[in-house]
Amino acid sequence: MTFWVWLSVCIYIALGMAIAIVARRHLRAGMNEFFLGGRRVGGFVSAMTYAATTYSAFMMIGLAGLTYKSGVGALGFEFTYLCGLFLVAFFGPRFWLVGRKFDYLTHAELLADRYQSRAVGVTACALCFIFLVPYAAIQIMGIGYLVAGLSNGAITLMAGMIIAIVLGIAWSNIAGLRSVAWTDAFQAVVMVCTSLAVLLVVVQSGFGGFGNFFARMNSDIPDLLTVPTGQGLWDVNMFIGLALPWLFFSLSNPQVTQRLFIPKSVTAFKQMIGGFLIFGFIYTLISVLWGFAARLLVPGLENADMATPTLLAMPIVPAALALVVMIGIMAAAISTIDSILLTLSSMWARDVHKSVINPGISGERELAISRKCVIPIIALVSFVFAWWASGKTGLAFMIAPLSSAASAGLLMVVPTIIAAFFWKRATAAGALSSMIVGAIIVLVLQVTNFRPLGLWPAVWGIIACVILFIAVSLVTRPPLEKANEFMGYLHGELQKGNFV
Amino acid sequence: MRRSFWVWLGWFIFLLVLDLVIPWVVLSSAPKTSGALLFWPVWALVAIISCFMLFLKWKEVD
Repeated sequence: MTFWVWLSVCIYIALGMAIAIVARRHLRAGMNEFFLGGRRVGGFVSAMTYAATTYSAFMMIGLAGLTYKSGVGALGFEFTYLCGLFLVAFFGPRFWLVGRKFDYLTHAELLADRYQSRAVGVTACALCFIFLVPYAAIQIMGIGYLVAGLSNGAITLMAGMIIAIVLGIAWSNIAGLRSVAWTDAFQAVVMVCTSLAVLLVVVQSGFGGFGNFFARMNSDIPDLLTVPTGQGLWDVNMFIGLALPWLFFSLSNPQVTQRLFIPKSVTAFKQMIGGFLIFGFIYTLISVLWGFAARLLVPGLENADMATPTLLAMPIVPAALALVVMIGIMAAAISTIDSILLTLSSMWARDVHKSVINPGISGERELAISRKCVIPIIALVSFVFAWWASGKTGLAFMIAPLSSAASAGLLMVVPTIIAAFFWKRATAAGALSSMIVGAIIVLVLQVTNFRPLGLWPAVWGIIACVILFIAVSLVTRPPLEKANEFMGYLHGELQKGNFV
Repeated sequence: MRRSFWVWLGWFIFLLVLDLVIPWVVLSSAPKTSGALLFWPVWALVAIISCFMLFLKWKEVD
């Protein structure tokens, strides 16, 4: 089996490399070209890169593991995220329009300009670095668990994690967003097709069809079919604590908001959202049903994140299909890692280096710093975090809760983003105080595992964040000239495009 | 802000209220696949169709 695992990984790497190299032929010069594909990406590739960036090892490893451990609440948690795409219907056209008008590369640059404050941009950028590195690390861990599980440990966790980080660096460097988006599109198709195929095989050979599968769920694990569960998991506080950051994921995560700048037209934008919603619905159902299947077929696992690798290693799953699914999950994880590396490097180059350290830097030099310094450094830090976290057990160190914890910190930038588009009275001081205090509250509560009144860190963080933002904005001076220009432009364009 | 903005926002918030009330209040004593496991996909489909209705009206801008 070990030989076949290695062979599958090599074929996947060769195909991905070939796509990335072909993408490089279409690469032109400049930061916009490298990080946004020149804002000329078509609808299908936009939809698939949005999907592959959003859905990661989190789904078939993390969400399946969470379902295995805690039942149906995991489905509601993930579908709440999908419903959060409503926010893209509200904010997506706004991002897209001002991105073209003012030539924004990142959401931090948008905020710095709208609030007329470099500090706002740097702070938004700092939040992304602090909270996205653990998220990237989770993807690396996911691949490690997967290849180690499938090869029965013959390929070590460490080897799997090294493959993940090397590919992430390579694919984000070869042609920037173009190579990431093209490999993402390839990987998204692989992810959904392989996972659907193996789910059908497992349900058929393990249970004799969906009717029997659901009957077994009703008879064997009824306590996992309600919220809260029989064991008390998924009380309302847990659900809100995990789902709240997830609901706003499409606004808070820079690797996702950056994709709102890339479609070449309104039609491409519509295809991006529509394609992603359909993809997300199917992939979520597959991942959750997969988790339930694992619970019935391989109960009693100590580490629920091992549910998928363990199920794939069972005799009922044909070895060839297991390998293909392994590649699908690797694809999901690596497509997220390379997107995060690319986005964080663009944020460092534009929002810190050019904005603060060296405003006179040329575009070429800015790009070189991103590619040659920032991407490898972020990759290394993420790898070290993954190595540390992979030795830990318990709910807090499972992939799904870790992912949501990372998004809880990023949630603190959401009031600043919303107000940028809707509230002329919003100020830089309000934005800074809300992001900094909110992030500190989230970090302290997460590290200490302290939950006053049973509420999770994201809830306390966002309450403090919103109150501070409004209060401080009301007593400080807003950048009215910029606010009028920004919102005045949007008002006219939104009406022209019949956007809400 | 146009009236349609507030209508869609209200609908979005209503869906989120259902997301909590139905599984935790109505279906909490229904430990079956026809309970929350069926509710959430239906709820998600309603949300997705709503999103389509919202963005299919968009037109190209220069």
